[in-house]
Amino acid sequence: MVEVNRAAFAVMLLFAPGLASALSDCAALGGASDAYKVVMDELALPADAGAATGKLQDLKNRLAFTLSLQLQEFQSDVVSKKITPSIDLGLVNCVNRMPSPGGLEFDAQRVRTLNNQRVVVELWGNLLASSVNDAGTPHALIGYVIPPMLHYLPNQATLGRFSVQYPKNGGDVGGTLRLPEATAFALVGLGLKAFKANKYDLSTWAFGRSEASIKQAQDFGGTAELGTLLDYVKVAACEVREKARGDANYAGPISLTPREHCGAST
Amino acid sequence: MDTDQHLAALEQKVDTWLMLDARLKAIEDSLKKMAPKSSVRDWIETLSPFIIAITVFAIGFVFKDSVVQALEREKLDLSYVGNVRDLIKNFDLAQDQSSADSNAIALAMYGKFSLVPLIERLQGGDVAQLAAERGLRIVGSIDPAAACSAFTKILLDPARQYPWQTHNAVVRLMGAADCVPAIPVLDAYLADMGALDDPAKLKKFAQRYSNSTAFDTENVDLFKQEVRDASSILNVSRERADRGEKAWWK
Repeated sequence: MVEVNRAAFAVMLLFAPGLASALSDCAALGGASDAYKVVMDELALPADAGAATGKLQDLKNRLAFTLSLQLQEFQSDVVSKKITPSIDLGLVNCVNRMPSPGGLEFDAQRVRTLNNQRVVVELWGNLLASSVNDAGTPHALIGYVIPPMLHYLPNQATLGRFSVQYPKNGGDVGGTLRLPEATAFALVGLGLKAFKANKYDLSTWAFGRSEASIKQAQDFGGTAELGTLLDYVKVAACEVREKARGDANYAGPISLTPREHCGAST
Repeated sequence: MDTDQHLAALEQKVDTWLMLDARLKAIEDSLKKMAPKSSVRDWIETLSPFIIAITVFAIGFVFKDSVVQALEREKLDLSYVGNVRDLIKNFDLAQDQSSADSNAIALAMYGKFSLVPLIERLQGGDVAQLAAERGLRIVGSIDPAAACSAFTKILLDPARQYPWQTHNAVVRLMGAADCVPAIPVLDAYLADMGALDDPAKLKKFAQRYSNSTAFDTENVDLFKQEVRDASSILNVSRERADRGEKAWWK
């Protein structure tokens, strides 16, 4: 099993000792910045890691490096596309901020606040020296919250919260770490915010890119929720194009495309 | 000199004396008329030193009392400042939402003294912002006059010191704090938001915020709804007051 379903995840949390949890403030989220933000919280080590501390620390370093690298690639991609209007996408590191493994702190009020602070995705991790499956193999549970999804689609909360176990290749610590979900979820959040802001080109690009990232995540072992998210993204991208065609203030390339039938509304 | 002449001279002298006596009497009468009498003015003149002394004493007593009261108030304010400072420090060092909330609520108990620090923390991260909003809601219940005045100033701030998120939070708080006198301000705000589909008008409207470029079409509809909600709550409150219910602003 490469991805944890919700029931198994809940059981794992019950038996996971020493998981740290403290949602400290992240001052970088406030202020007057107009950048869209990808928030990366602490990757927390268990308090009682014991002999596994070295392996866990190694996994933590690799995860942090991979995530930073992916998000930097994502930022570079945004800049290189020269999308109009230009946007700023910032990576915010919130040191010592450790939401609980299930992300219970992300209630409606916090989601609204994060959405207003232009957060497209927030992710955090708990590292575990597993006693449930592969003996002694360290792994990480990375939690993702997509505030725009939870804020604008409160009835589809499963599309805004994810918990993914890494590494995905059966526990090989030395293998290549890939976190395609991080890019996919950031793009979905960005696409939805851009849609609501009538930034059609940006939204179309973000939803289009997120389709590829979600498919990549599915290839690495995905859940049913990823399939539902992919369906949503396709419909949302179509709706963006429809809205762009009908907007008198928009004169970009989408207005030249033929009309479509999008199906279910977002 | 014969006897007749001597008599005539005597008579002349007597006449002169009589005339002098009459004049003397006339002068004495005049003097009697001019003699001082006991009047109100005399009383005032007599009592004025005492009256002045008593007045000075009374003023001094009252003045001293008010000065003492002012000094006591200053001492109390200074002790509040010390306590508030400690609570702000704890608020900023809070490691989770519950401890930030606890400090915000403790701060809120100081009423108007906590308004400025809590409003400033509306510009913090998510934890600080949510805690500050909870604290300000309590201040709005304890001291609605001071809270509403501060909230209204933010919405009308000509210096554009606050980001749109603070305006947004303040509008929510005005609804909760029974800021009925601010209904016209909210109505004007909503009217200004009326035609923001036009990007040029949106840009002009957003200039009231310190982060004008962060306010875009995404925020307009949700913000409008917040203003409508606050206004609706306050209108209900006003109607109740019109029916005779007690209200702080009446």
